[in-house]
Amino acid sequence: MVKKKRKRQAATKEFCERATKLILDYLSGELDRKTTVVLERHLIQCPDCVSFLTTYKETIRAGRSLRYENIPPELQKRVGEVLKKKIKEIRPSH
Amino acid sequence: MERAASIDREPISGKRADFNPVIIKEDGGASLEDENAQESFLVRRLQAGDRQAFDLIFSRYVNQVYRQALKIMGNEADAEEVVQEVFLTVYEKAKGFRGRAAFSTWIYRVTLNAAVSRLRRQKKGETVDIEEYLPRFREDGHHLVRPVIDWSSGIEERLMDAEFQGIVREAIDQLPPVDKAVLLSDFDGFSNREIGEALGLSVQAVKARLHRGRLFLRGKLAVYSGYSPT
Repeated sequence: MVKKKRKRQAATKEFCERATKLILDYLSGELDRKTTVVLERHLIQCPDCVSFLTTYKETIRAGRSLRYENIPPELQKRVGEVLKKKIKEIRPSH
Repeated sequence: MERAASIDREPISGKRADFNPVIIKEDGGASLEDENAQESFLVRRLQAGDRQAFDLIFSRYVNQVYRQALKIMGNEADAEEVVQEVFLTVYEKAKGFRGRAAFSTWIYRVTLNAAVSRLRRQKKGETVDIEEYLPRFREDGHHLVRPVIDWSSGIEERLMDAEFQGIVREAIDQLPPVDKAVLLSDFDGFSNREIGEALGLSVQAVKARLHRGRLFLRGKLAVYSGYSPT
């Protein structure tokens, strides 16, 4: 029993680095079933990896929450005019 | 298994609003088929050299191209240059568009490549120590700094904060050009395959760069929150 427990603890310790490498495929559902089970077993025993996974997910949320403005109207007008000029230079016959 | 089962895998589903402009008729009755037909017609006219079709395509896509360019370049002046370059390419190379992918996807690729090339020229020689913000482990494979702290509580409110958004943007700006393009495209909801096709990378290479970019950004946010990146 003690041996089994020690073995499990050792496996948990060794697994954190590997768990970190598996996160991307785990979150996208691309991890095979067997590895998913092993990873989820590890997560039950390892609060460090749970915290790591949570912060990794929140990082994605942070990145996806970024908002960017549309092109300002005066800039759109300017770019449009420059393009018209350049296109005329490329194909003056059209 | 209870704890693991409670962990949602994908926090937010990817979205492609940026490169799927929707044209809604006044009566609200435009169908997707109508829009696709309208776009196919415009593209054919553009391929025939019709400038009016080009103007319509410019109006339709300029915001999407500008936002994509602004994300990658990080400033308005460079984004403007990219927008010009992209639409000139669209005009000159439209004949090369074979319709294998959506026209919006083709424009996304043109934009991504124009921005990455420009950024590469600008960032030549610049190096940022990314490793410093990646997780590190002990010899036994455990996290180097323990316990790993969940610093993400209250992140919903912080995401509204301009300073926090600035930190996220600044961190993304420090990534090498291709890694940055991969990460931002993923945030925009493009698949690894689409990103790979746009940048000439294998899916495996996209995944490796994406994971590294996410880990770097995570490390930066951990440090900003007062904790170790490991």
